[in-house]
Amino acid sequence: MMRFLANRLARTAFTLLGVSVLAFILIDLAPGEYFQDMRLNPQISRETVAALRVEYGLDQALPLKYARWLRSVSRGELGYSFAYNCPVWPLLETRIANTLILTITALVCSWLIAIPLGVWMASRAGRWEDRVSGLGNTFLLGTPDILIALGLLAFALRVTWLPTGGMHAPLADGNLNDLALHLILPVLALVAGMLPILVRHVRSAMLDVLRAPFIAAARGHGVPRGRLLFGHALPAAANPLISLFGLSVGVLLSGSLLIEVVMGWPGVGPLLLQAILERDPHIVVAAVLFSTLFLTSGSVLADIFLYVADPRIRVES
Amino acid sequence: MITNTKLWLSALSLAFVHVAVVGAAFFAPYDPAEQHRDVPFAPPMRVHFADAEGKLHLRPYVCSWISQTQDVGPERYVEDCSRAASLRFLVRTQSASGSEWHLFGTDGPARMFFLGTDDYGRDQLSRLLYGGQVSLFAGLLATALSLGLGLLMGGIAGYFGSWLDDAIMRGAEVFMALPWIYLLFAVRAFLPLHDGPRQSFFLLVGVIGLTGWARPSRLVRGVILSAKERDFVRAARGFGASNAYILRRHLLPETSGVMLTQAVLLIPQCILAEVTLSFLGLGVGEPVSSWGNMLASLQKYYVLQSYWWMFLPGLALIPVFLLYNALADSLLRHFKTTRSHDGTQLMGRQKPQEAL
Amino acid sequence: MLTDPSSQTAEGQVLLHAIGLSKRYTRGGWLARRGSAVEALRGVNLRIQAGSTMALLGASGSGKSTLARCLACLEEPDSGEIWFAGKDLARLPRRELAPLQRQIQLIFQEPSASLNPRFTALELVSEPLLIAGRGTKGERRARALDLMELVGLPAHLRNRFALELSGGQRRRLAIARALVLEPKVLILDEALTGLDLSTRAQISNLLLELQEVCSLTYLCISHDFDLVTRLADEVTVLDEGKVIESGALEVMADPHSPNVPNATAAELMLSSRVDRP
Repeated sequence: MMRFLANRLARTAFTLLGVSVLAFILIDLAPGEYFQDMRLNPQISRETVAALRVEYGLDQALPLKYARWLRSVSRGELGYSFAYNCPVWPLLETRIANTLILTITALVCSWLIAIPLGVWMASRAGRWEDRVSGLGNTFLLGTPDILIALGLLAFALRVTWLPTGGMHAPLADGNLNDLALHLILPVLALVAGMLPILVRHVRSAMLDVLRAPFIAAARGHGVPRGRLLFGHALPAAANPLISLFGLSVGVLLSGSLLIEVVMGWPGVGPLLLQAILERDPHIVVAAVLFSTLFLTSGSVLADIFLYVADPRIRVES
Repeated sequence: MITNTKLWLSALSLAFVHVAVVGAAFFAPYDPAEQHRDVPFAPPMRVHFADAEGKLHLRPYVCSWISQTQDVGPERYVEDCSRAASLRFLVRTQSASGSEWHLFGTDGPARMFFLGTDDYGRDQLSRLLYGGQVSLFAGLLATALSLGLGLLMGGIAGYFGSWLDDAIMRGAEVFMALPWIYLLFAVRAFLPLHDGPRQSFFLLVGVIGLTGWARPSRLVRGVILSAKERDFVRAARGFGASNAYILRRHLLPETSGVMLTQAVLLIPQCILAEVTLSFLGLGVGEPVSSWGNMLASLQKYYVLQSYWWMFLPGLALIPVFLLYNALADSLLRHFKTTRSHDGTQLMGRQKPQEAL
Repeated sequence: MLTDPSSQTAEGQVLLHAIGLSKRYTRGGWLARRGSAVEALRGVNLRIQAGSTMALLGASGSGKSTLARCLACLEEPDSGEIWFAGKDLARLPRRELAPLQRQIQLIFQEPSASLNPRFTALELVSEPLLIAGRGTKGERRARALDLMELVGLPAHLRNRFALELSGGQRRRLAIARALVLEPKVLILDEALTGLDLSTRAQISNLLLELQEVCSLTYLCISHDFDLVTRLADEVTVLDEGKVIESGALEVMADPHSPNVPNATAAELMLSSRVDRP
């Protein structure tokens, strides 16, 4: 187990390094840079721009720039933002926390709904309840996240009790109720995007298990329905679902970026978008690294769950 | 078989949608860039069959919008049926590029805005059709790019093995280590922002296509790895076949099943990627319409609140995605139940990874 | 040895001569533990006379298929020599090897696996010509049809796919395909295994006919002694990668003959199936 974890951590570190190198190469290849627009401004002299470039190290060769960035990472700064004129990490810190609040809440909610719903649909397979929910599921699956988010916002505009974006009401500081109220819309949008996929897979995994002989045997022994479904069938269906959990983290992160921008949630998403539009490369690299880290943690977590949950995997490794 | 009906039905419907979009010049009543400054944010026209006196007209007609907008608040319009126009089919119009045929047009002072107008008074229906060209075909082209790259990389990795395989698969891992949108953004971030519409379209297609190669390449590699050990490949080698011949004639055809299902899964993803990027201003920009940048106006609250018809480009995506999903479902089921000639299954069960 | 050790005169000359062939397979790539290698061939010597049929017997896992692939130049032995047409095939550079290698054709154990299911019968038989770049499309087609006729496949089957044919027909197809490049040596891996008795008789008759007509030399691989007795002139027995016995068929078949030195080999001969339990 320890060896497995160490292996995974090493691979994660390697992947993160790879991603950062890739990002830096892309920056270097990119035509245009932060000071390009400034050069067009007649009020700023060419010498000033050149001096600024030297100061920020933009005139150096790629490996030097990368080394400089690595040093900054080791100092805990994660590079320097040209637009905000400060190290990246303080900017990113709160944003990451906000994104995590949103994403983890949505993750928990979607799974909490998906599992019972999928199990129920599997138990009613073929009957009208299953068909109708299946249709609804398919329809939701075909609806793009943008539309759901915008639709929810339009709804919130008509209704006075829902905030229409943002994370806090202007004067409510750290109030949990206020936070919860502001969470409703974005979490709803994210859950609506995730749910169809999860429900589908829970349902199909359950269906597979329910066909197995040991379920019939348990039913014959008189095990009550609820315990049968959740105590016998669901654990047997756990494997693919745990892997799915790991993958759902990634999907959710992707979704959250868009939702944050549309709904004005102050997470990593809007910061990243702004950094792209302003050509602030270090923020982009740091944000991308964060997303990679989060995604990889999700799959490592899933692997750990699998290891713990499935005795067969323990025997194999 | 029901499944096959579903397959053909969804394929045909999709073809129909694409034909409608390709023929935008014919189906759209107006030029997408044509502005009607006197009617910004006009709601969709009502088509009348009977007039105020209750008399039935054979030919439906539309009335003009008269603005009754206050200084403050959303645009308001009222119908003025004194200036009406009948709907005509197969109309010929004169424009700068010569005379063109259109499916329908009006013969009078009123204009038909079946889906309303935007803030520059441009007909939304026309923009929707032309925008569909951009969004749908960006999806198709980007998918082709991803699949082509995936085929190349997966083929090389699977066939030649050793360090090439390792290198390519590590690369694929890096690409798959990022969530899809973050990857898109990362690649998009470092490319020119303000280009002409044609460049930005191809740039967009390139970005989306280049980020999507990893998963197809993994699947292709798997197919090639197992296929290259088969005896008919050995036999071909025994006749002196070159690597290129074996790859082309024996191995690549084995990937057709995987390629097809991946294509149908990737296309809606790529369309959505285009819509997302254009929506956020990182894709195709004005004046060219795409379903993404048409939705961008909804980012303003007053549009979101008052002008419901601006949602329509988003709603247009729903049937497209539903159709692609249905096609993907029936294809997967078809491959699951069809066994290839030698009795092995062409496709395994769909793992969650392939769905996501 | 650097020169061909076989005699140079015409009749009864040794056509294919393998000396000291060894091959081992390692498993697991560069992370494999020690001792996880399999020695498929250990110093195998083999001599096949022109125009004759050599039977190669052994249980499954004894290295027969590996030897077949090495002789057909589909795999490289780790050490040893393969003398054919005056050259050591194991040492030849690729370009010189190609024309010689085509003269030794391997017919695989399972025709349904060695015939690409997406090709029609005609395409399968003409493929070697296409790969070797011989003839125009029409010429290839004509030659393929000729060969199909030679092996007894009716012409109306030419557009069928391999898996639409019966087991016996598939085998004929594999034989036709192997013959199209006019090889001198045919290595038949379990050519008669898995066929019913009447088909087996038909195919072995066909093989005997073809040997006459096309002046072929056969190496017949089997795990079943009975199967190859009709065809073979000589027998070699392989066990765990080593040759434990070889000689003329009559000698081998008579366990009471004083020329049978190895008791184990005799036991193997007597039992009709040379499989391990």
